[in-house]
Order: sequence, then C-alpha cells, then structure tokens
Amino acid sequence: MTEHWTNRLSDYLDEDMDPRERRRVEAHLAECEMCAAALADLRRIVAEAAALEDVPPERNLWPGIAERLGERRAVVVPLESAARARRRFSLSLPQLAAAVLAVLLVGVGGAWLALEEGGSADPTVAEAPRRAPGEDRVDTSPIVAVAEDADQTSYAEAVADLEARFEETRDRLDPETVRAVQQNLAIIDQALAEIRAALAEDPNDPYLNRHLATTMRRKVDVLRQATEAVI
Amino acid sequence: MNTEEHGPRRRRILAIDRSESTGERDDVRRAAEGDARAFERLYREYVPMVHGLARRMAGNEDADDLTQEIFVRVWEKLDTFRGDAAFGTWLHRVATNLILTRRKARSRYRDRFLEDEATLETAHATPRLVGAAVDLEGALQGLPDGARQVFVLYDVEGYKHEEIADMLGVTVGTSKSQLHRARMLLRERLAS
Repeated sequence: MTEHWTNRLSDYLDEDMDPRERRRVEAHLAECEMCAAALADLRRIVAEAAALEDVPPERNLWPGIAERLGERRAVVVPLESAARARRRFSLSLPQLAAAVLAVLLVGVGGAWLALEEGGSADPTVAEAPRRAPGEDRVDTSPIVAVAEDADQTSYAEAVADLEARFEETRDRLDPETVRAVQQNLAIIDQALAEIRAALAEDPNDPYLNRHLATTMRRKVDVLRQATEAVI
Repeated sequence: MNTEEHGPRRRRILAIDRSESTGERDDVRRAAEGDARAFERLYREYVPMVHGLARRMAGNEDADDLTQEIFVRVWEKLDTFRGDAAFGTWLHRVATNLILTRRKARSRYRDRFLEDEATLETAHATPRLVGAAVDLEGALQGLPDGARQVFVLYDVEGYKHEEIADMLGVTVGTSKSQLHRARMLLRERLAS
C-alpha cells in the first residue's frame, strides 16, 4: 500500500476516474490486501455518512426564535430619539464611570446575558422589520435600537473622559504601572478594532458580539483602575 | 465519472426536494405573509435537518445558536423565496451559507481570544444517537474545519464537488483532496 494508491481510493469509490485508470486501481486492489481493506473501510464510512439520521435538538429552540422574531418589531424607534439621548448625556466623572458600567451591564451586557440564556444578540435590530409575527405578541423591548446606539455613544464619551483623566494623573503613578496600563490599552484597542471590523462583515455573529461586550468592559475596567489608583 | 446524482450515492438535498407537501406549501405562503404559527410548523418540520447540519458543520457547542439564527434569517428572507425549488432545498442552502459565513468569521478570530473561547467550548451532549452513528458523529467533531465541512457537504448532504468548491471558495481539486483527507482521518479515528 503506497500513498499513490491510497490517494486514488476516494476517486475510485466515487466513480470519479476514467475506465483505464479504474482498471489499474482494480488490478492493484486485487494484489494489495491493505489497499483493499482501506477501500472497504472507506466504503463503510461513506455508507454510514449517507445513512446518518437527523434528530431534533435536545432543548426546544423555538421560544428563542419566536422572541427574536418579536424583536424585529420592537425596533421601530425614530432615530431622532437616539440623537436626543446622546445630547442629554452629561455627567460628572464618577457618575460617568458608574453609568458606563451600568450601561454595559444593562445594554450590551444584557445582550450578552441573553446569549448566555440561549438567545443571540442581534446588532442589526435597528433594521426596519419585514413584518411582525403574531398580532397578539406583547412588545417587551421597545427601545433596543436606541439603547444600543446610546450605549455606544455613551461608552465612547466615557472612555474619552477616563482617558483624559488618566493623562492628567499619570505623572503621579509609578512608571511601570503607566507602561503596563498603556500596553493593556493598546492590546484592547487592537482587539476592539478587529472585532468591529469582523462585525461589520458579520453583524449577527454571537461569538463576536460577546467579545465586543467583554472587551469594551475590560477597557473601562483598566482605565477605571488606573484613575482610581491616584484618587 | 459522476452522474447527475453523484454516482451511487443518495442525495439528501434531492430527497428534501421530493418530500414537499401541499400543506407545507400553504405554510410557506402563510409564513411569508407574516403568520408566525405557520412558520413554527415549518420550524418543527425542518429543525432536525437544520440542527443536524449545524452540529456536523460547526460542532455541538454552536449548533443551537446557529439553528436559531438560521430560522430568524429564513423568516426575514421568506419574501425572497420564489418557489423555484422546494422550500426545504432553499432552506438547506440558506442554512449552509450562513453556517459557512459564521465559521469563516469565527475562525479568523478564534486564536486571538483563547481565554473567552474556552467558555464557548462547553460541549452540549450529542443528541440521541445509537451505534455506528454515535461513533461517526463523534469522530466528525474532531476533524479539522475544512475536511469536516467538505465531508459533511459531500458524503452526508450530497452536494457535488463543483457546488462545494463554489460555496467554500476553493477549487474542485481542493474539495476532492479535503474529502479524501477527511475519510482517511475518520478511518483512523474509528479504528482506534
């Protein structure tokens, strides 16, 4: 049995070779027990694969789907509302830090929690719904789009303020600490850029959405710890 | 040479095509008009197929999330379904494309976030399967992504190499070599 012959076995099995080549393989199989045994194994695997049965999932996935069909309806929110939410945002630094954490927990973090419970975050909820499923459905998430939009804006503003605060106070920190903070922030920023680039291509990926929420939270934590160290 | 139906192999995707009933066509029409109950009936009919495809292509840990996402996507796209093929065939293609897209994005970032990745690797139990199916389903989970995807699409689902090459963005030759690699790896794993 040589690699040359074993590499031909799948083509032989799939009847994907010309008659002359087929006769050559058959002649080899007649005198090589190992290749004949390999072919028999492959034939069995192919037969088993074609006979695999589809069975329902262990848990009922429909409630999670029905909930997300409902979400589509919940996003009819005038974009002006999101703009107003941004304009109203004005807090002191401590309030801001607390607000950021709350926003992350309730907003993006909420999406994360939903994922943990079996649903999936869907940052495209701002799209207009194609239609609403079931007229009797109660709309329980009327400001999803606003919340996410405002979260992103609040997050950016809060991080900017925390960064400014860090710059103001860094002289009072140990140089090693400053270096460590900067290195961590650079790594986090790179990760955020890559996750956002990936989400631009694939906005519904639950894996990427989880990482965005986690990484945003990490950045706030790093900045908060750095600024609190000198308070 | 391959025939239209792939030599001696059964084509699962053609079997779907032949199984469409009048009731199903009504449900598709009603769901497209916004009837969530009709859509739920379609879900019940096709969730084993979609979940099986997701589990084999992407692994146990992502199968539930992917299945939910596929049905949400199908709901959104139902008004683009023209009825040229059977609903099940169309659904199968939508599901396959979405799974491949998700896997591509995910694999690009997988290595960079190993810490969080570990939390996603909580394997769900493989559904109720018996005998050889358990062995093969289990061995499939250990294959490299490329080999696994080609094996599932060709040997389980019945796509042709030309179709697989188009879906995966590879050459026909790559599809064939990945298929052979998958079969040989499965042979090793099932023997051990």
